Amino acid sequence: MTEAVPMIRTEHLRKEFHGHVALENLNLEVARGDVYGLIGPNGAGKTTLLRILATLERPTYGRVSIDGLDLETHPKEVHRRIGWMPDFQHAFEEMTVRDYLEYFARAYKLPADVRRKRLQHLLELTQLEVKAGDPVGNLSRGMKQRLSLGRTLMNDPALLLLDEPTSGLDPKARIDFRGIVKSLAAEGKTVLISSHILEDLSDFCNSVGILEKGRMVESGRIASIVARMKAATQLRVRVLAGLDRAAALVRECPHTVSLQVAGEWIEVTFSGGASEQADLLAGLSAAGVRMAAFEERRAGLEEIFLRGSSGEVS
Amino acid sequence: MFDNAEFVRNLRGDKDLPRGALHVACYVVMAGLWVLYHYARFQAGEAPARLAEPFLVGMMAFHFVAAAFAGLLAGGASIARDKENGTLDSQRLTALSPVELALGKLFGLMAPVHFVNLLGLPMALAAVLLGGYDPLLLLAVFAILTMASLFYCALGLLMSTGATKGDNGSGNAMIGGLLLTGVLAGCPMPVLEGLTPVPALFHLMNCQRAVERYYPPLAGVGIPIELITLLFYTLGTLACVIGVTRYFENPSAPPWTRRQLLIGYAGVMGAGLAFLLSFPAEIRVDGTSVLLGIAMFQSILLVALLGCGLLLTPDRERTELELWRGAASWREMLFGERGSPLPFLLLTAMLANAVPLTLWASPTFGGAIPPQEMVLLLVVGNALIFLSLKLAGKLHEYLGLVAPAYARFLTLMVLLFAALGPLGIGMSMLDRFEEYLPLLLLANPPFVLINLVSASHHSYDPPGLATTSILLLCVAASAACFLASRRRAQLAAEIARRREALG
Repeated sequence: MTEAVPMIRTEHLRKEFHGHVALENLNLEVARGDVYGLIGPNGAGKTTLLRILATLERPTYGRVSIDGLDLETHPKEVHRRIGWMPDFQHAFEEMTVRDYLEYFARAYKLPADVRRKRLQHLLELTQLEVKAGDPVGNLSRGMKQRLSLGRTLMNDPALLLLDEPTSGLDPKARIDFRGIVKSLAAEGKTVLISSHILEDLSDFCNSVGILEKGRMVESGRIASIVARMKAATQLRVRVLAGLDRAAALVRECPHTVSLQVAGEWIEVTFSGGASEQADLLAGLSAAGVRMAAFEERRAGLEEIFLRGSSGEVS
Repeated sequence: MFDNAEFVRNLRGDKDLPRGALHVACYVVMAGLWVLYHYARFQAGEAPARLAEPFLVGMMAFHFVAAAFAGLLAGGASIARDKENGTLDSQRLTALSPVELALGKLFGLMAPVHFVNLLGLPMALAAVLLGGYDPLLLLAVFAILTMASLFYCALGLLMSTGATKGDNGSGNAMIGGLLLTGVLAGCPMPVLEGLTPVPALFHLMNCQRAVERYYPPLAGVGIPIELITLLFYTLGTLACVIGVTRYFENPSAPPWTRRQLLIGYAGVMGAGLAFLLSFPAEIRVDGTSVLLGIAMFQSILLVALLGCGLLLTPDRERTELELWRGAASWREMLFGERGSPLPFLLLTAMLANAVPLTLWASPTFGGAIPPQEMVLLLVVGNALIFLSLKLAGKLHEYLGLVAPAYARFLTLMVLLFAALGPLGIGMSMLDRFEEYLPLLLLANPPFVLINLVSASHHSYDPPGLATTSILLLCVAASAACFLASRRRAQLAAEIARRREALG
């Protein structure tokens, strides 16, 4: 496959369940090697999208391809390229960790020598070597998630579909898990990871999509979204005296898109550049407004989310 | 001493299914064998030389029932539990093909279930040796038991695909298995004798029962009944495995394709044909028995076809999916949607009617049916079955579109009411029981048919009831077709609008 072919492409994707629209006209492209964070509140359609990409659900309408292969016509070829990890699943609890991985290694029909090496590598990667002989049922939730990730990596997939992998984990387990995903991303794997916890994604995603009520409200590389947002910068002004006068002056400024007063803070969506910001600051000072702060807010993942959606997320 | 209460408590606490199943199997089999031993002593009149025969026959029947229950329970829970725990999807995404997954699950289940059979082996061997039987007899008996266990495990697996929780799956499988056992046990046709292992065992042990004296199994071509039994279990297992495989390929699709059903049907009819042709020439059957036999055959066939028809009727999700993909056309509006099971089921019904009628009318069986009656049976019988299928399928399609969550339940209720409602109403209005029976005609096409052509049962056919039944069926089927087509057209128009909006 050439570089131009995206790893994931959906066109006009729609999914209905018993009359309920889970995904609506969803167009998505994820480039090879990207770490794409899918953000959205519970019920936004993240799991449905991931299940469709994993060939576990059929779309009601629209086209989906993985690595240029249509999911409808080439499901088996797609299976070889993907690793799918659900939010949480009960493993075969009576099996030992090693047997569980061995079971899936055989199910993926890995040759014996490859199987042994792969098993050892995955035990090391998921830090479960010392637990290899323990029954899966005795593992903590964080360990079970790491084991599930190990199972997902068994066929060395080019694309990882991770559905809320850190949901319900304690902070230490979340940090451990993020570390593993980072190292996989560094190996060049394409990762599509869904979460409603922004902190989990902000660390290592280079692209994001915001899904809300089945619709993609924002999607692309974080840098380009931020650049797009720069066209209307967020300014924050802390006013100690002359708040009404300051608000009136800001409102009169031709570059002000919108304005909100919260306590002694004025929050402004501003379409001008640095020179216009300097003019506004000078005007406020000349009008005798006493200010403690005049700052431009930097757009991060949280900012993208808040401006791109209705903000229903933790 | 063995503490039953503690044993049951431990068992309940044991969540590990294979180990739990083994405990149950050991306990039940050992207790059963002990009871059997005393039964055999009673049957043998305390004569040790005669002990082996009743013991072996009883033990095999007991093993058959135990293996059937264990297979249905474990099989029924298998896939449903995977779905409940979310482990099914991970397995479907591996390199294993759907066939490998289905066979893996089947043979994985067979290990604990077959253990139930093996538990009886030492005692069976002792009985065979003491009774002076050929030890090879045990090999044949255990082959039949193994195939029976395999069939019930496969049937359990198939039933499990329709459940979302392990316990529900076991329940489904038990109900399905009990229904099947009920049909097999209740049906007087000698062909069904081959479907339980006990007659085969009788034959192997040179015992003869009344039914075998009158209808020697496949005596005409010399095929012993145990081979028929093995053939039935093999074909049944194969059909179930195909259904499970298809589920792994696409869980939202119906369990069988029409082609698979046709192959299965051809296999069953072929086996039936071979069986019937093998009857000795001297057997003659009178016309009344033939007609009643056909009526019973058609009743069973109708129930089976209705079941297949309802399973193959697309639910709301599938209908919408087809419509989103542009499957709606004027042709489908007129003749039914693409993939409709109706033409296939009708063809099946016609073949199913024609084969036994032709056979029973043949000189082999004394030419029991006059040609004009046979034509009437074929034409009217097929029309009635067609109307019944149309009514059930379209009613289910309509209910599936307006009340998807309750469609199956509502269809079942409506069909049950149609089948038994007139009888219930009659019973509440009339005094004598035998007077209610004609009301069953209102919902039973095969019996309507028989009463149209046979004067022998005119007492069951009060004037006009058969005609009323046919007319009612016509009106009900037309109403169901109209409702379903209108709802489907509305949905198609709505989806077409949404597609246009998407561009």
